[in-house]
Amino acid sequence: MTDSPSPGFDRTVALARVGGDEDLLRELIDDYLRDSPGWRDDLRRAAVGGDAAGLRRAAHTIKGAVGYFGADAAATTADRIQIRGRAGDVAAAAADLPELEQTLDRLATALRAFVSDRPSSSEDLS
Amino acid sequence: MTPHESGAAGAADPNAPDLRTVLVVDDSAMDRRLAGAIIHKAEGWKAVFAGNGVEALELIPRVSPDVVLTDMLMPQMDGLELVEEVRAKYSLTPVILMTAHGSEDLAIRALKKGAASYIPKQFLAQNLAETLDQVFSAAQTKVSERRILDTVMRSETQYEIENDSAMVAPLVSHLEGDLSRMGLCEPSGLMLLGVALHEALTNSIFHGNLELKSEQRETDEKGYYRMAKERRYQEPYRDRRVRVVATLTRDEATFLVRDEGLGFDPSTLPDPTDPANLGKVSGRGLLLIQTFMDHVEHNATGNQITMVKRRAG
Repeated sequence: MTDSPSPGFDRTVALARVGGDEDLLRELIDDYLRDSPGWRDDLRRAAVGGDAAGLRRAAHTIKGAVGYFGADAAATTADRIQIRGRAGDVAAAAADLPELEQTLDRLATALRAFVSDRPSSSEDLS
Repeated sequence: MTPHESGAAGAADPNAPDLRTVLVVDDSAMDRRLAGAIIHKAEGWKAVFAGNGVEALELIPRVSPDVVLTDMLMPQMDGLELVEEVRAKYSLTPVILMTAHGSEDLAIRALKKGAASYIPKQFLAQNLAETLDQVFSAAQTKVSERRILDTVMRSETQYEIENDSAMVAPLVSHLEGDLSRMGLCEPSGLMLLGVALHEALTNSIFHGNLELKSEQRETDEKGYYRMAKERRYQEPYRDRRVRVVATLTRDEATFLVRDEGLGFDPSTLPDPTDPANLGKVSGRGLLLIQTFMDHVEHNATGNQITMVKRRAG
């Protein structure tokens, strides 16, 4: 977790974003795990279709979402895609996709582990 | 709109406290959830949601939000356009911006357009509740002020100024403010009206009280202003005052400007509507006044001008 930039999930950053509310963080993770496959589809479709504006939009959405979890590596790559998309450079933006996909996979794994690790704060005793 | 589909449940309960409403405008479901959760925890607030500026504008008349909290970058209508629309249509409803990295430039432009405040998204949990309270209470003060001003049916104010041309611009801008608060004039018309008032006041100081002739300004401008400066402190000019009476009602504004000079025969005035007088320094002032005011009249002794501006439309 201390390697830089952190590829996965930074719990401290994530909790700060939600004012320490772990339940809210879990809800946000659920939102993310539900919606992110769609964003990644949008991204791939835009890359295949040569749609610079679509790339920019999808990358912007992903960047904003992974920011909740302190996923710096994913945010940095998404930001680069967004900038290249805005500049209309579809080829350069698309070249970053595999790297982004990898970091997003790792993030999703870390998030799933976090959610399943402690299903809810009240069921742990016994 | 998800999450927490509006706050209608609270409104149905007669014992529920009267909650103030924030309209959260953001295309990201996660951002809406976070903002909604913070607002839900904040004392006295509830949230309703829109996914972009267009949806927000549809919702505003139905939910009458106390504050609008908006993202900057959104499809359809972005935060900047939304700020402009809200300022134009609901000028008393404050807009707070949520900014992400990369939208700072846009946010600065939105603040210049009249957004009330901004919060970086990563500090939403820390700052939102406090910012909402601050912005709301500032807006309330404005609302109360506006309510009182709406009850003013007639106001009459008298001013008495010395022969100091430096007093003209501040007085004109003060009068413009009163006019605008009374809803008598659009901002564009206000500037023209200001020019007319400026001319009338300058005339009564220079031509009225100080007895200077426009012809002199045409030939020797420096000498003209030097003499104006000297006469300010000389008998009999120095004790003369310009008296202004501004009477505002819901329908019209009347400005009476009177000097204590020798006056003149108003029938000798050059025809201000004759284009030949446009180029002349002396004809210009009165021409502007005649153009911008709805009614202009001089008294018989020529030391008092009355100008009437009626409500536009």
